Amino acid sequence: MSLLGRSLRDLWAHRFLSAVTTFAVAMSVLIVGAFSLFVVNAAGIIQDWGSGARIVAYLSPGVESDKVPLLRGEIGRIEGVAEVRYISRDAAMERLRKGMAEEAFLLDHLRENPLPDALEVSLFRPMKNWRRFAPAAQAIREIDGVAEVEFGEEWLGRFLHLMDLFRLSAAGMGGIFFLAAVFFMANTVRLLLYARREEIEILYLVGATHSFIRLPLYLQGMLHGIIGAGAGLGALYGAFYLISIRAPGVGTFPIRFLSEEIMGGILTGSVLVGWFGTYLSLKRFHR
Amino acid sequence: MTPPEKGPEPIIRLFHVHKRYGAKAALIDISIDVFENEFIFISGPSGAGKSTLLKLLYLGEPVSEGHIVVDGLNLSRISRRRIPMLRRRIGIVFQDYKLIPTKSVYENVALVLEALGTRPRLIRKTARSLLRRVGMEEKAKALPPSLSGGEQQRAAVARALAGNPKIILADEPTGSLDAEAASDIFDLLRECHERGATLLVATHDTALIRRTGGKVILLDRGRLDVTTTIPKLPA
Repeated sequence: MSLLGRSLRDLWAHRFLSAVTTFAVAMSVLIVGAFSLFVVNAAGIIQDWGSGARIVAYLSPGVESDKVPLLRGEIGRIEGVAEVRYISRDAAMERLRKGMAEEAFLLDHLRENPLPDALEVSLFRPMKNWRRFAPAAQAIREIDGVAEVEFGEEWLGRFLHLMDLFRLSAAGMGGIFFLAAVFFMANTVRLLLYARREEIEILYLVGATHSFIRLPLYLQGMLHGIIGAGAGLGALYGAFYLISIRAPGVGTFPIRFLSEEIMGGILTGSVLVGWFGTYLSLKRFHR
Repeated sequence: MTPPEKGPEPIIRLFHVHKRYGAKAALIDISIDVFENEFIFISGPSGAGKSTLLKLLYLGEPVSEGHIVVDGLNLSRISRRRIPMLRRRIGIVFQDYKLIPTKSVYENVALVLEALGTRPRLIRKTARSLLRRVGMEEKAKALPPSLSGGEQQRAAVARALAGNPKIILADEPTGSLDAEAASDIFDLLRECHERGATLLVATHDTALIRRTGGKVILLDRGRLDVTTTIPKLPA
């Protein structure tokens, strides 16, 4: 009988314990997967909030409109700058009016438009280039014709701190969940092998080689990993589907399921955990 | 001048063998030669070292001191990788049968053949033939826990014979059986001997030894007490 055939036959012969082991893997995958799902979507939502970040360069009062293209060109050459848009003082007033909505009538009493002309600067992939905002703003500030630069330095600082904290806690929690899954899995595999210790000892006594005994056990461990991971991800998708019907997104960000890479990583990780759990448990059967 | 005629080499040789469990000596200075196709009883009271002696032969336990050679393999120097080679030359029958309870009688026998690398078609043929030989063909699909002690031991004998071993070690093979079942098992072991196998049977059942007759190694508190031959009682 082939190696796979023997492994499947043994899985069936010990179906209860195999089901328990597979369930353990599925639960671990469900926990790790749910956490990954939260991290991926939370990071996406935060990214979505941050993608609107801009540097606004207010021009000095005497700057003529024909000098604006030169300034745009000069700013456009700064590293990381993606787009430079000119917002005339009239356009800025119009935006303010729209922003104030019902209170816009207050602006009617102004004798003249107090707003300056400005250049709105956006950077390439703002989330990946947060730390370039300050140097870019400084470079813009030094250009002749720019009176003042604003990019929400305080807000950005808090935002960066929040992102760092989030990344750190995600990595820490992910690591803890992963270790817990390995521990959970290794112990369940050990339980399975403990129940089969007599059979394994008998096989050694009748002259079976290490590979004859161990290869099917390793394969079974890996099968537990694959089947468990499949079941865990399936259950997670079911829960995700039910949630996404009721709440398809947060703001402009549509919540999404785990990427193929993450699912592939979870599957590979589960197979490795199955193999490693079997390895740890078999060490005691060395003879 | 012609060289002296060389006698047959023993298939099992124990040379000043000692076995200790911590400070407790289980076997003390045992030297025995067993020749091919001998049928030897190892007898003695409980705790004499009968089972320990058999365990040393299939490396169920390592020797503390001395040397053992089984079918040309020096057990003191054998590598871990070669232990299966040794065990394939030996069929072992245990008092508690040691059948895999979740596998049928047929599967228990077939598994040994599978482990030996026998081709699937030959596995079916050989396993059926072995079960027929021990009178268990009709119980081939039964799980061991559903069988009587005698039936389980028959299945265990069939499994021990699966690799066509040169040597059969039986550790109290009738210890858990009633007189009739014990007699059946003994007849099976005798048949294996008649087919050419070398048998070492550990037993304290002196009535069975007298009924069968043969060479007896008597152990007492780990020491070799006496080696004698008991004639078969007339029927």
